[in-house]
Amino acid sequence: MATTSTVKLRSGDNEVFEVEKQVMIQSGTIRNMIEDDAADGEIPLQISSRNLAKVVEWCKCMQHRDRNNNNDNKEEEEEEEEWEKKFDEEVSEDKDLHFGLLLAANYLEIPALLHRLCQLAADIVKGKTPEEIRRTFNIKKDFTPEEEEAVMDEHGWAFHD
Amino acid sequence: MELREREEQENDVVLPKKKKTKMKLRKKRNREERKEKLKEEETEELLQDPLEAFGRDIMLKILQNLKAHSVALTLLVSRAWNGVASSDTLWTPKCEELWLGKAHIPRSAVVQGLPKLAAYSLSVTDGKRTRIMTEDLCDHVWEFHFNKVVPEYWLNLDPYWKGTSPLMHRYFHEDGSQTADPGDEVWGGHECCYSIVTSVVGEGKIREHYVRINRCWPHMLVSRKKDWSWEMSNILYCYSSVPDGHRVGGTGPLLLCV
Repeated sequence: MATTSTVKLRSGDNEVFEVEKQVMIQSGTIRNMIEDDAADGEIPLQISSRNLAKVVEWCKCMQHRDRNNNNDNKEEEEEEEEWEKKFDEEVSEDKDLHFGLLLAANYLEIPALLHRLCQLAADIVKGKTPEEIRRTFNIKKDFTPEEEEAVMDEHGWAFHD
Repeated sequence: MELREREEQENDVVLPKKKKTKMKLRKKRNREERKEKLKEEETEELLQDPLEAFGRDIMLKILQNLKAHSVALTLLVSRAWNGVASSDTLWTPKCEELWLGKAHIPRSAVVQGLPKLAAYSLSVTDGKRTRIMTEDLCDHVWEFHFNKVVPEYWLNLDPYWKGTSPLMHRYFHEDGSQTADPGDEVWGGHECCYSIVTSVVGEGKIREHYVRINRCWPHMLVSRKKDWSWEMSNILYCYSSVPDGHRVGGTGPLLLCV
């Protein structure tokens, strides 16, 4: 095992983040590197410093929460909930950040973060008609009217009620 | 930003002082409007197709958070989305959830090899079907009880009204006959037959649909409950299908007839 207790992450735009290993082992990718003793130098990541900072912040908060899970500290619990709420809001309002973090969470293999971001992405789709979804994501409609009708006929419960 | 500043400087030079404040206000408003517009354009620009940006696996993870109806709507977004949104990964748990607690699972929906999205749609459609078929009658065991209007003599024989168990059962057979449990006090031991009558007018529009025991007993109207169980009743008596959702291979007709 490596001797230091921190790991250095270098963002795509060359900013270095020094973070406790205990925090970053939430990332499967980095955990593997630590276990393989391949995390002694800087780990270069194709993630922008802005997104990486957010990922690190998230990991710190989660680790803090897990560590305090047994404590019955109401104040801290509320603080963490507040932080998560703010995180959700920030991500929901900034699609660039949202999509960037999603890719980063996937690349770094952080299941809980990926799951939360996927839930937030689902919220964008939820309750929208196909046309509204296309408009939201700039998707071109490539169905012929006949194909469209066939889908609607086969799944009438979703389209005709 | 630089450009705007230059504009203002020019204004300073050209405009007399009095007008300036008004003009500035309007300018400010315009600028804010422009800023807003720019913001909108920016966000719009950033929203790329998540399927293209993240690929199929993450797209599935996103869609997994949606309810069946919302997922079904994404089938019509594009061909690529349709490919993801119709995946068994999404619809297998949705089918399980839909079938949970249902009295009957349609045979047509559990055919081996059927995509789970098709199974889901078939199940929802079949659950609303109120036209009963011989297969439905024969596959299910039916609970039978009298309605309150019949003479007391019959009510006193009926476990449903006596508050005892088991309740009376009736069985429909493919040869058109009907039987009861041995020892059924109401059952006279006589021969019994049944028929499903459906009269269709115009373009497949059903005018009348009922089940009749023997030739001249009163018609039973057919209805469906929320848990997909059947009820057939007339003024005198009522049949309810006994839940059999656990039955392997499902129940009812293989081909849907609306």
